[in-house]
Amino acid sequence: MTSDRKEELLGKLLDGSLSGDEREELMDAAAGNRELAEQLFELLSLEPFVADLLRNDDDGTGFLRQLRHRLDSSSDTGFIRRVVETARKDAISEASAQGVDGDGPAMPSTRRSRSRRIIGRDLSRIPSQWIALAAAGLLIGVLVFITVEPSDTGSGRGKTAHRKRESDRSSRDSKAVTEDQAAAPRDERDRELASADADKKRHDAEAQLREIEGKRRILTQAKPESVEGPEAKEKREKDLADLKREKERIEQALREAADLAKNNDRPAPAGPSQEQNPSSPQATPGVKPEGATQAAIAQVEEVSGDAFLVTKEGKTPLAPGGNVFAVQGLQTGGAASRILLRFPDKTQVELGPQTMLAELKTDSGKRLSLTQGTLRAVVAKQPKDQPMVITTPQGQAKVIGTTLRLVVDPDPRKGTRLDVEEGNVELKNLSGRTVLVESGHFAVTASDTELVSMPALLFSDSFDRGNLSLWRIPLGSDWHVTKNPSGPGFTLTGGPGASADRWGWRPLLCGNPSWQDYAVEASARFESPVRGARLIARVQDIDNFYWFEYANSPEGSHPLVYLFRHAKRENFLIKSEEAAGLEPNRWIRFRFELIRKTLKGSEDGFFASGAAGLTPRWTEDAGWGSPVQWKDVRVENLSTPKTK
Amino acid sequence: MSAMSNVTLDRIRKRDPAMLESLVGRHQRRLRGFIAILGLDTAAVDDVAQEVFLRAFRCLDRVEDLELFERFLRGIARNVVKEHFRDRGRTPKSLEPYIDQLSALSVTDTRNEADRMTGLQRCLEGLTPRSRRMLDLKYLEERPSISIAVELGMTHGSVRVQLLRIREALVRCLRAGVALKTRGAQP
Repeated sequence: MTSDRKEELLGKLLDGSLSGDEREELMDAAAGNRELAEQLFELLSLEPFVADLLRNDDDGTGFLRQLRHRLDSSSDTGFIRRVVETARKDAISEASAQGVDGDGPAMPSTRRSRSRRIIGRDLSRIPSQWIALAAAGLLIGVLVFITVEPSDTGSGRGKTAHRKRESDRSSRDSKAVTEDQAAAPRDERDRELASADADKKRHDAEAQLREIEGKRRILTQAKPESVEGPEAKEKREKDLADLKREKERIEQALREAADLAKNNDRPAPAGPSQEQNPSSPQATPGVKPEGATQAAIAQVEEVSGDAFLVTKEGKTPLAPGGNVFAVQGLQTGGAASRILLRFPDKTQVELGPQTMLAELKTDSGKRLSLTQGTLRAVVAKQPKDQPMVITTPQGQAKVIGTTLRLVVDPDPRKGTRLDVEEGNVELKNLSGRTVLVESGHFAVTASDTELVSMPALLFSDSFDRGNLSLWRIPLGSDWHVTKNPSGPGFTLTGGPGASADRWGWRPLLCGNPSWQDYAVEASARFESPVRGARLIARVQDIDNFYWFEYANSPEGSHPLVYLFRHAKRENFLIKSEEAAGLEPNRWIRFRFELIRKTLKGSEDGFFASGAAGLTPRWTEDAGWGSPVQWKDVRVENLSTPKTK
Repeated sequence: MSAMSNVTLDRIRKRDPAMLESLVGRHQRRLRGFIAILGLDTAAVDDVAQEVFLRAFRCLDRVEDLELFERFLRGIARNVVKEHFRDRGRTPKSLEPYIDQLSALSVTDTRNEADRMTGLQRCLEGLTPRSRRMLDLKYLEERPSISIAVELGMTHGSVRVQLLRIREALVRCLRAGVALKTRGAQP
């Protein structure tokens, strides 16, 4: 590795902007180079010292306070504490200590012998613990759901803000927190503590579930009949059946508790430890007896990224051409992961990244259970009495034949969103209410959200009309639509004009002041490497709006995206980061999402609503005259239906 | 083990709050640094460090020698970090071998944390106002480097490089301070 490259990677590492590949490159180099590894170690181990000193936390009280609260929170809140402690007393605390298993060189591990004792217990005792655990998980989840609001928890800045608040806070004796106080309205700090507490307890319970899964494996190992008598075999099978039922119950309870406790910023696992314990399908009812002949329900047509078949034996990588049988599940991994399935009737189902399809089966029609992620389906015409039904944690979609997209958010407040591209789909929520969602519309099933069908698209223009009749054109601008010289279709060019000064924004506008949550997206093409394009949103007037820019850096070396608030002729930078894929004379598509106070993942609540629009980038040399071509502008409706 | 250590250990095993706090105070920064070397993003380091302490407190009975407590914490930290990656869908294969190797490479720093803080404070005082301003923007205001670049009229890349060099200078300064102290202590 050259010294320049090393410097670049180290700089990015300390900056927190190292990509996964770059991290591997650096770690790889460090693993083979002791000097670099030690340099890395010295630099990184210095970070907490520098950070604490500069934040005037040289006595380390910030960290200590946070830790104390996490410790305290495991013994607070009356009733819940008693339930949790009862459930955890002798089992969970041991299971949760698994982090030291095999480590801690001088510390003889007692966990294994303890585990053996737990495994050796009468199985009939276990369900009562599970039920207590499930109750605790649910109670905590409900409590957190009631008290936690989407906030900045989870982001580094949020955590630091929390730490600062904690530093300012006088010491509190958490043992004085009574059951009544727990029921009373909490302030933000307590909500954060409750959230952390719920996370910890969920984690502990998941560890316990993993251990129980181990017991199940032991029980499922068939023994020769000569060794195991018929009575023992019968008992074992009964234990297994009990185990399976109880596991289903606790998994469901924990999944709900985990979902409820989840906050917006945190990427959430789909249910309890699916990565390590992909056992949802085996826990579902209706598993055919082993050895029975099963017909394939669908075939895997395409796979990319991380894709797995989830069976009761575990998780196996998926390959194109493979078959999916009844009650098997599918799971995808990170951003580039995808699975395309084809059913015998040519129905296609595509799973996006971070998606868990817990089960596929046929029972009076195709039955799919989507627990998390994105599913897009092009459904062939189904027999009327055998619709395709897709179940999610918040409801179910009944499809006769159409093209649709379902997104299941781990946050139950966001729930399941159904977008219908063609045809009609009936969506039912958990309370049994249904709505017919027509082509071009969407509906959301989520806790406390009204089930209504709404238009999915607020605006779109591909400029194929050859004019700007759908837009508001500001006076003095030179926006115009021209026919493509090299092919079919039209493109948009122009802007405020080269003569306008840097404050002379004359964006092309669409929509109205009532638009709140939406995504504006467009394709743009630049001739010069230092040009760029801007999408604007929540336009109040010509001096007040947000703008999102995709441009190359001033020296033209690397692409960047910027998000600014433009208020009374002042630009306030909300966010900027490096981007990829910006090259001259190539179309790029970019998108600016605004949902409540969250703008492209950052927070700003200055402008709550307003129209959308677009404009070129202002540059020193060309003013507003920087040539940009535009096409395919869309404004997608991201509103959540009204709360009940 | 000395009688004093036995008393301390006994109080720790009985979860004496003062002793636990003292234990955290002695180890938390080095633990956070160690967790960072295991490949965690800076934003997640503190959360994971707290989880490590919580797990350690649950099995204090296994601690037989306080001198080895840091190794004990690191053992837990390695597992918590692996779980952290697994929970977030990262492929454990890609990083876990490095965790082991780097963990083996890293040497326990036995310097007193308070001495280190004092030394670092002196080193910080020796920085130029511009370097100090950059650090304040980075750590105190938690500004991303692109925003620091805008504030200070620099390019994004040069801010990163400059911040790296400032930290390298602090490491050198700290090393020199320690060396000086060691030399001074020699007869």
